[in-house]
Amino acid sequence: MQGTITTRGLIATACTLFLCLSLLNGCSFNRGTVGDELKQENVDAIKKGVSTRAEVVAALGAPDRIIQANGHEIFQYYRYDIKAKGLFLLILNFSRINIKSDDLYIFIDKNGVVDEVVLGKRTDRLEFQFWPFGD
Amino acid sequence: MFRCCRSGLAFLTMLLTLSGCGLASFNRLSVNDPIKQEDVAFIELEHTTFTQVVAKLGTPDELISLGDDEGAVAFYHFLDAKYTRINYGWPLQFVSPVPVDMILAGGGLGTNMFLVMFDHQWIAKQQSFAKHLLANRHRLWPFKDN
Repeated sequence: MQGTITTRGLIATACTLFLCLSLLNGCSFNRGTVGDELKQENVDAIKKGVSTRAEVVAALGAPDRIIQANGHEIFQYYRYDIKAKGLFLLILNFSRINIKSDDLYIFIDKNGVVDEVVLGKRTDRLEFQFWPFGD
Repeated sequence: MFRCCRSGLAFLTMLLTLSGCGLASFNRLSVNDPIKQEDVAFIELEHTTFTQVVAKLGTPDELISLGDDEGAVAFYHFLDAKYTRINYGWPLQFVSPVPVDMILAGGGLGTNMFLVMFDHQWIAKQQSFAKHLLANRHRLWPFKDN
């Protein structure tokens, strides 16, 4: 008798699992990046008042942008990180793409020496999400 | 603005790959975290420096010079886009011998920017939001006026 109940339970579980799997049609995780990671050790190697323009380029490569402002030459390096997740049910599909950027600005004075280094990282807070509603 | 356009293009491309074949799809794209009015309340014009702004808000997405020793403008971009696609013909596949599609789709691209203008000594002179964020919403019916 107990064996029969167990068999029925197994069949019920299998049916439930099959139903759930047929409703959950699929899901996807996508990831993409633009630009190289701005490594903290590379940024730390650049010393204010000491490092030169050439040393900056040697450490980080050519900047993505160069801006001239207030007597400074400003090198900008940026990187984008993209995380996308999709949940594809039989009837409804949900997907969400999150993009965040890291930006590094290096201010170089008129003598070609680094005056200021500003690094902002947002990509470490980037998450995979599929729910497209709410805040 | 160029970066926002690029993000919009990326959004459209990814929609094509992510949109499934079910009855309805709800998609969203977010670029960076929105900056709220209370986040920028600390900025005192003629006092707050570029370094202080960066310490609170992070690095700007874009920095533009206003000319030699005339200051610069820092831009913080953020974007929130929502897109809905409903195939009203999808249920007919169970009764119709041929696939029937009647797809209505709509959405909105809410972009926003926060700008801080700095003088030649990197002290904040002006700040403002460019507000278009209300454009983002899921649209189930694309024929409404707005």
